[in-house]
Amino acid sequence: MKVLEKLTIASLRENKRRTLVTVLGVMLSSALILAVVGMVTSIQKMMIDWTVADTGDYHDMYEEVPVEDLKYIEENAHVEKYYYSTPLTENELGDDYETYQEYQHAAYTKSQYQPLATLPADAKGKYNIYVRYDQPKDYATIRDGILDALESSGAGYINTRTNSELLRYEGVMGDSTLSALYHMAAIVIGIIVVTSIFVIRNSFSISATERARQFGMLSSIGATPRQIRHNVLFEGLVIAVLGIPLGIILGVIAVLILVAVMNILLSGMMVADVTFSMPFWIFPVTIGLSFVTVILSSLLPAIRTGKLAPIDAIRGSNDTKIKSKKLHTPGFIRGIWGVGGVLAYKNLKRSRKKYRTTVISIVLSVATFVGLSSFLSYGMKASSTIYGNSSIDLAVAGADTDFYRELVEKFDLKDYAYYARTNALDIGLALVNHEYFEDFAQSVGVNAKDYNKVMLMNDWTMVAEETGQYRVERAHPDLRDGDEIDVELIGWSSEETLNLDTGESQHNYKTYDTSGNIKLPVTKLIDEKPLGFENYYGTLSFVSEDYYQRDRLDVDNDTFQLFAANIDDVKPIIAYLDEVEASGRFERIFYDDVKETQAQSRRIYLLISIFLYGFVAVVTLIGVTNIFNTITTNIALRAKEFAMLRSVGMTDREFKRMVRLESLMYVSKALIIGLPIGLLLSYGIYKSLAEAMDFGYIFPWSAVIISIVAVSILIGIIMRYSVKQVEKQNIIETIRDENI
Amino acid sequence: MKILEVENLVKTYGKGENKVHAVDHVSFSVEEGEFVAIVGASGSGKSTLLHLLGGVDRPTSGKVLINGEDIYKLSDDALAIFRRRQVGIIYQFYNLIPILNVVENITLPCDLDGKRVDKKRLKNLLDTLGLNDRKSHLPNQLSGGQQQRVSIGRALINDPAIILADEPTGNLDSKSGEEILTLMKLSNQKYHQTIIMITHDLEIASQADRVITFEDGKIIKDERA
Repeated sequence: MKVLEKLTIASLRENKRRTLVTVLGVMLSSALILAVVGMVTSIQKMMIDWTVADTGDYHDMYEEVPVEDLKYIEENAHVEKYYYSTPLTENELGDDYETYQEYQHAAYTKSQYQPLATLPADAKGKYNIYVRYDQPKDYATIRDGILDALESSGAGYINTRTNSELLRYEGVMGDSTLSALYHMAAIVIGIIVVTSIFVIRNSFSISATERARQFGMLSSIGATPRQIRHNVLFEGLVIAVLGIPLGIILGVIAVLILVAVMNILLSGMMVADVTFSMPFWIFPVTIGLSFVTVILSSLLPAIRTGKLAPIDAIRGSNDTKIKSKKLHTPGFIRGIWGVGGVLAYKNLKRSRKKYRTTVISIVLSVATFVGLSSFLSYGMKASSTIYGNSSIDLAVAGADTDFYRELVEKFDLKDYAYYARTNALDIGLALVNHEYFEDFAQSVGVNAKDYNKVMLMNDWTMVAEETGQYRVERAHPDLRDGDEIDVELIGWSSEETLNLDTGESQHNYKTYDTSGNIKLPVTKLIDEKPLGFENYYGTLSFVSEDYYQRDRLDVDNDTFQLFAANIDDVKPIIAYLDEVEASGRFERIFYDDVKETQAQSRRIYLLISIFLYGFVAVVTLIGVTNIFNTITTNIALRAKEFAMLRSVGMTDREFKRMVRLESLMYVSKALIIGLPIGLLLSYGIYKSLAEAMDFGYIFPWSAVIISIVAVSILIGIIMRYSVKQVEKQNIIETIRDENI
Repeated sequence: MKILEVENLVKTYGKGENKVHAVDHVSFSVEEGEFVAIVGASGSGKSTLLHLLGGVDRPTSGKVLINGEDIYKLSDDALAIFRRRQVGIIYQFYNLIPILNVVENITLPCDLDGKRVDKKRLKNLLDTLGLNDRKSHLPNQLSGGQQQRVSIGRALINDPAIILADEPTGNLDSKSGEEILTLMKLSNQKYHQTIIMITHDLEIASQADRVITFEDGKIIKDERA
């Protein structure tokens, strides 16, 4: 090994801690790159598996090939594997137009053909053959070759069907989902690479600065700038060789875990599981990207170091080139914190450049954290608007009240209600089963002898404003408790039926008593909403199912729907409802395991949180490695200065105070910049989502507080650690040390 | 034969009113095999002059010719190569690499050059410098005088045209200083080595062939013994 390389290795060894932390940064960055690519390829694999499960594993299907000509396909060098099916005959297709159409135009789905792995021994006539090519990219060329061979053999013209869905997901044909996925990954990786370069560069900078004297000495005895530059790059190479393989191992583990977590959280929601899949190409790509990251990180420090005049490097004079004007300290700092404060302030000013990266790292982490946590809380809020607040576990529609009573009894449901909306009036009116209605009426303070004459009205309505926001206001501002409300009888309702013979739909009109309007007395205006209507915004009145004017309201027993809450296990009910549906007792029965749907949406939310917070966490961690290196090295480089201060009588207490103050100064600087950017980001996210939602801006208090606390603790710990290292040193030896 | 020629060399620091002439229009030349001492008070600019002669700093204007070669017309890389082949520098604070042992420190300029070390020359040097039994010691295991001897070895290994020594005895006790000076004189006589040495000690300077006195960036006296 050449002497310069030997020096580099020795210096890396000597600064074990910093080397380790830099390696850690590189490792995290390449792990993150690999994890992003690995997730994308795994999701792609899922799409492929999904397609294969649905259509079969083939690129081209050759239709009705005579048995004796199959060999032209089977023996083609590019055919990787194949299987057969018997062609469907006209008879098998039957009269079903839809099946026929699918057969004609759409890709086959596996349910429509019986795949045969081998041909029967006595095979005669024609077979369909499904072929997978070894090079899907050239599917068209390979197919043309096969067709030519078939044609010249006399098999005649053979129809083919391309499994374009599979080819799309295998990335051969353009697919918007897939390319969106890859584009997103490319952007994320771009962000990772840029952030990493920025952050890791600092570690090389620090190392180069620290070795400046050495480089200066080497240069004065004749090392060329090129040699010096190469030396810094060599350091990058060593770090890369250590960090990248570790990063790849970590990345693979991360993807394995993420895939497992995804499958647990999404179980039952998807046709096919996410499969861990990392094609070989992603390793060279990751290694390449990580390598570029490291080399670009060490390039700038390398160039700068090479340019330094040797004597400046030996003296270290480049580091302290600063105008005294810039070091002017505001009076209040001296006033409040004394000499320690002045020194802390001056030092921050002096090494502004060194700390800039630290500040930017913190800014970056804080801003993304605040922004993304805002995004997540809106996501949470939005999904709870759809499902979240709903307290019900089960919803059933399309059956009749008798069935609901049966169901309630059979499964011993405690909290339930069934409703029917009437279409006969020009206001929203729902009939509620009388047991629940009585309870509900009592809960809003209505105690009547005749519950069948009580009407409870939710008179709030949502009004859209020009800004796209909604505000809630009374629909009938003049209405008071006990007033009667004029309701217009619409006089008819329609029912749409489909004529199975002609395929046309027709409207059956029912007419009612149209002898004018009726007056309905409103017993009480309420704000409370009954079970299942928690997320309903609009004017709606509730009456009992045996309301005294029900005969005018056009409500059939089979228009009721059931909501039930507080069910421990919805599964058996759903199983029973499956049976009922299969029995054909009701023409159309709908049911929804709301509990499961909500749980699913919570799991998706959790999954997104894991991805987003995981991303922020790793980016922050990469930042932390940099912050750690910057601070510990800066303190170590100032060891002589500290020793001098202590030698002229600065007490340990004053010394600690000074260091604490310094930490405080740039924590506040980083937060003063980072928090507003994060808040701006969060407001931007709110603005872009606002149109789809009906709630105001939520100030991300918790994210802001977490940022402040976490950054303070982090910097505090690192500062304390580096100062401990300095305190251990003997004052005089430290002062002398520098002269050797 | 003139081995070093300095023409109208200027080095200034600062601007406007704060402008300081560390080296102020200096011209002189040195013959091959001469042992020159430059004396002057601290702040007189003598170190800056030495750095300019060794090509480790850049002048504001003027020329430095070593063996007829204008060293500041060279590119950074070429200058570095020139430095390692033609110039040996000895510093007051030795500037050895702490993790390299004695032999490795001495042969560093060869290694940088990718040249094979001349074993005979190395052995000869180690004998002359009295470092034969310290070959694999690290700098921190050596006394100041021994460390300075290592740096002399490093300066001599490539048989440079010129040796520049910046207060080589400044950090040593008088006995060690005496040893170093003897060694330098020896190499001057034995190898006919050209040496330019900076010192503020007139007694040490008096042992040189020629003493140049420097003040406020200018030569005020130039006398041969």
